Amino acid sequence: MAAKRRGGAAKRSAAARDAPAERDDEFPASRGIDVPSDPELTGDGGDPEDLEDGDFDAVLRRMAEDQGFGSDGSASFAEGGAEESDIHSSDVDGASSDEDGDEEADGEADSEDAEEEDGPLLERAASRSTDGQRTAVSDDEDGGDKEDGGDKEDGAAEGKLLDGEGMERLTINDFGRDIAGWKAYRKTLPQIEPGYASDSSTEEPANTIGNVPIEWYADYPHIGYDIDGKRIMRPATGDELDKFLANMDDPDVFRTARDEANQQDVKLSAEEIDIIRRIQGGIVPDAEFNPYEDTVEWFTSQTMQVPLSRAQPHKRGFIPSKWEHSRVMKIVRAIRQGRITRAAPRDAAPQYYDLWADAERGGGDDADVAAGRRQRLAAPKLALPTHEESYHPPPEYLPTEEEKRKWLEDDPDHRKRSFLPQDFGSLRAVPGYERFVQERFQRCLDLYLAPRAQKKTTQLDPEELMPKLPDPRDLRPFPATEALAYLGHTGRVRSISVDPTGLWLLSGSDDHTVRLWEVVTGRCARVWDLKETVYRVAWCPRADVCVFAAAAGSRVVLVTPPGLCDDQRQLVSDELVRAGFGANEGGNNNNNGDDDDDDASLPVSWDMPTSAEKAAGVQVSIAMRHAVKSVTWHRRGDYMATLTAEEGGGAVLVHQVSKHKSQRPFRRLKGAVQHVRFHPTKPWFLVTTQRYVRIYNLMQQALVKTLQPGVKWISSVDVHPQGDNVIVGSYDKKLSWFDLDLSVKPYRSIRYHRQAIRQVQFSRRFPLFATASDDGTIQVYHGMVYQDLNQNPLIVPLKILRGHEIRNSLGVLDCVFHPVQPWLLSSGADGTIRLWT
Amino acid sequence: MESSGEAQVQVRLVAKQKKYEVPDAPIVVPQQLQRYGLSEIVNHLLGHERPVPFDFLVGGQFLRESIAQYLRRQSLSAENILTLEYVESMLPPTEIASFSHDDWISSVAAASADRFVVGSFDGVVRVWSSQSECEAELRGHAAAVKGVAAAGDAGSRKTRVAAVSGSQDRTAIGWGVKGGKWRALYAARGHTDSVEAVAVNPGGTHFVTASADATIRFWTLAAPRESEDAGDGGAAQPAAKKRRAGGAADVVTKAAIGTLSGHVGPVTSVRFSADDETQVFSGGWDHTVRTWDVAAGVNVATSLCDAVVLGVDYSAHSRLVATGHADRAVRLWDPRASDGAVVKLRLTGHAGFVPAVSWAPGSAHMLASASHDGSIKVWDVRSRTPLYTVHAAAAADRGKKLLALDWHRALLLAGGESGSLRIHSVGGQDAAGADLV
Repeated sequence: MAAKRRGGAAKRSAAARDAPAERDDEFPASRGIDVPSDPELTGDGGDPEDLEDGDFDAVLRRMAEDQGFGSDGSASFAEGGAEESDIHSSDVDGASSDEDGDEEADGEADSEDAEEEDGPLLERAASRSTDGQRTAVSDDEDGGDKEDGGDKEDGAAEGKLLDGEGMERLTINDFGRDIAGWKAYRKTLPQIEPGYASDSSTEEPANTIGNVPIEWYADYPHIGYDIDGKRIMRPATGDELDKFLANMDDPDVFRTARDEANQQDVKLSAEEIDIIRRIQGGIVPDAEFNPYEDTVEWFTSQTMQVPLSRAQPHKRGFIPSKWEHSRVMKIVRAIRQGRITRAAPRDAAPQYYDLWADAERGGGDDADVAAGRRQRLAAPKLALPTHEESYHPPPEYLPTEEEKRKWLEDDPDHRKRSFLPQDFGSLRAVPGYERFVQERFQRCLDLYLAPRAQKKTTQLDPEELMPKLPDPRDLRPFPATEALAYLGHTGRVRSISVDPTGLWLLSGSDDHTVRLWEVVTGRCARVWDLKETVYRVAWCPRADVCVFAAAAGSRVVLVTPPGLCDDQRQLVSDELVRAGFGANEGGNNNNNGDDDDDDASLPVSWDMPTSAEKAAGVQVSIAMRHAVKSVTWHRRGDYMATLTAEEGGGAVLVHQVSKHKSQRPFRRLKGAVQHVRFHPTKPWFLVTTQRYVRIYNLMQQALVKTLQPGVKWISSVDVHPQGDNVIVGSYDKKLSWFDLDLSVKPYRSIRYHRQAIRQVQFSRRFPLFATASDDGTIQVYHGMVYQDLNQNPLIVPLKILRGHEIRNSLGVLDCVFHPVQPWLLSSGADGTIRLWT
Repeated sequence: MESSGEAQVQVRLVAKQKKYEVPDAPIVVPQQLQRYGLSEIVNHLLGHERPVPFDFLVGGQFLRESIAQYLRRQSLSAENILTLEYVESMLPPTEIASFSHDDWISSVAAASADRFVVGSFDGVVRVWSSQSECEAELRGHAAAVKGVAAAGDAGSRKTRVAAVSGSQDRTAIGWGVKGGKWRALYAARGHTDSVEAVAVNPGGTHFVTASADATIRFWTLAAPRESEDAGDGGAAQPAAKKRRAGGAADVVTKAAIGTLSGHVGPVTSVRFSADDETQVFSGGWDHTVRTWDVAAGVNVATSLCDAVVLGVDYSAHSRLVATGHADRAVRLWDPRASDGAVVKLRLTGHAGFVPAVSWAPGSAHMLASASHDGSIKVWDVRSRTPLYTVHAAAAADRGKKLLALDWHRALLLAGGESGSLRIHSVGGQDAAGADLV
């Protein structure tokens, strides 16, 4: 029966399409109350049995079913078919046109043909038809067909169906243009009862004052207005006693509620009370409502075994549209012939240049952007306003008259701020800001010039680049703080020296005096006035004597300070310095020209001091022709080298104290000699010229090596007590450390001073050395020389000692380490000597 | 109590001195109280009309903050009863006199409460009475006097050695007094370098000298009848004597009865033990504090630190040695300890060398130190901060180096670069030793 019905439906729709005019003619005839006489329904040859039964209800029910299910699903299927047909080429088109002729044939045969000819298109439909499981959506071809012409009559049928009890209800369509008839008819219709489900507005409140408290009308005789604007008078109410009596009499008092808006009592009906009770009990207010209704399986999960409709999908659904094909081909031809060209892309250039667009992307490489690691650089923020930008700044921010004048006189580019702080008292007194536009513009310029992308730099910890140095705290002890100042000199203190025991300090000064200080108390024990500038003082390094040499002007005096040491040492000291007089008594006292004829011309005379000097302890006075710049002792304490301010080999002289003999070790010397020094362990002699340090072997009388510090002007040299390392300080601020075994070039050059280095000194006892400079500071270094020759010396800067004042661009002139303690003594141009511990 | 807003703590107040005892029951006090508030409470409890200032000890240390801060620092609970021991606090030393000298003062010793011996760099030892009279100017040294020591009372009729002074002329001179007349009795010779310090034993029979020649010599105090052979370079002696122009040359020479050698640098300070007549403490440039048995002449113990020792003093009450150092610190040593941790305490606060330290005569806790920064600091070993820092009253003397210090009874004597002998009176029971009664 299903197949038969489907075939009938197809035939009917085909007939309707072939003869639309005939349908239009038919339709007015069908318009009427006589529903069974509808030719569409009666003419359906597919259901002869149903009609024979005369079961009119059954017919209507089936119509309703078809109508309900075929509303939207069929339309979508048909559209899908049309779309698919667009894609197909002309031969499919041809096949479909072939089939047009067979349209009247059996539907199943049609679908089989289509399956043979056009597999991909019909595959889905075929699979549906073969397994016989049609869903409700897929089989509504005929429902959609019916819409073409039959929707009007369907609507009419539906309207009539609404009328439940077989009573005919006419619509306005039935009356056509007869409005009066329609109105008369409408009056016969029963009044609509506004039931619970009704949304009629008959329950509008009589009082129209709205949702306002009724107390507002307490003073008036009326309580509001009705819909016509008339006053609603307050209903008469008795006093409380009347009310009470009335309540006592009234059996319905328990079901009376007060309607405040209308100022009247309302008796609640039983239904209303029931609703109230239900609301109070939390139940659904409607008594009729059944919350536990049986489930209606509207959309069942089970697939129906038998489709609701057996209509076959129309062939047209599988065949591409010929008309659309022709339209498409027309476009295709136009494109091929070039009549249709692609529209030129619209110029999407923005009106402005987005500066920060690049920054938004991150500015980094694409991999970063892809990985989501965007490095957004926010636009620089404006500085927050300060007090002086306030309209009412605190008085201290307001400029004085002078400042105002200066501001006005200043060039606008040189002003510290672009405005003058002003006090307006109140915000409303502030005038318009005339510089607003300029400031916006400046801000734009700032943003334009601000960096928009974060520049990627390699993360380098500067600490890592620094060489690993030990913590200075681990290198204690070293001089770190000023402990004492030795005050008394009135001129520059050019030279200081500590005696071998470490108890006494000597200082020579521009004030022509040599002073002897007690190291630990700072007490000046003795003063020698030598009448000339004292360039250098030096204790004899022998431990068993107490002798020092002082270079004052062009002579060197040897002094044994009286009372400083015990009698034994005093005797030895006196013998040491005075023995030469006895030795040379027979010969000339002026020089020692015994062994060398060249030295006969030596301008040196060893003289007895004057009696006054002798009382002060001066034992020998060695007079020379030129000013003596330097005196230095050999470590054994017998030989003494002096340097005078003259050119050539005569500048450097070596004196033997015990024999009062002088000799000139160098016949010629290149350059101006700056400094001479004996080597502490070897028979070497260091002669420092302006640029080089030459080391001579005195035994072999040969040059050992020449150190080249690469500086312009050497100021001072010191040799490490172990003898293998030399430090050289220069007037061009550089300190050079030489390892004599390594090279004649510096092992390390250090330039930490801001001014010329005056003196460099090794500590004889601790691994320390210090540099004194014209910048008023002394820098203390740890200079460890290892016994292992493979290990390089360790140099660690430890401390900058500040305290000396700078006078006439001269700072610290001399420094010397204490022989016993880790202390440093320094003397400066300010006439002070300081002890650093 | 009435103010529930602030935290409170129960304290038990304990006093060692009988006259200051209060009932033993714990009382509740606010935690915010500091020394002053607690002192007020104690004075109130004692019913003093004139308040006596008290200092409070908790756990053996002075309370130098509020109780709340102390509890927080020690992370103690405020629930427990805190035991506070209180002692009468020392009054700040007040400078009562200043005796002016021509030259720097190198050493000070109080012979009694009204007689002070002052050694000076001009080589003169001066004896002052407390009435600011210079009783005597003792000339005899050829060079600066570096150390003086007083030996007992000088009031007796019999000639006896009342003071000993050591000098840079390598001698120590014993000064005798008879009827108010002072004269040099003998010159103790033997040192080959400056005599830096002198100390007389409590019994007044012997003295020791410390010298820059790295030795300590041990001498009897009594004057010899005739010159003894000093035994050091006898050949050089006569020549040196002749050259020396001074009173010391014509007095008899005294020889040492013992030499203590062990220091490897100048010895700067020496002190007898107050308990043991044979025990001597010394410190020197070799960074050591040494304990000597002078009878046996041996070095009993050596303690090492890392700074030059400039001044030494020993207290019989605390049995600790206090030393002043070139690293601006005062150290306290336990001479009996033999292990490494001999430095009990390191007191820092001075800004210069500390050449002299002196224990309070009667106290186990108090000591004073004088420094090159010109200040005297009074310390209580129960507190790491100084109790008082005393500067010179005269503006001209401010900041001048102090070189000598002596605490005698209630007097604190100090002198130095300024040449004025500063005499301070030190108040308080603790200073006078009453807390040990």
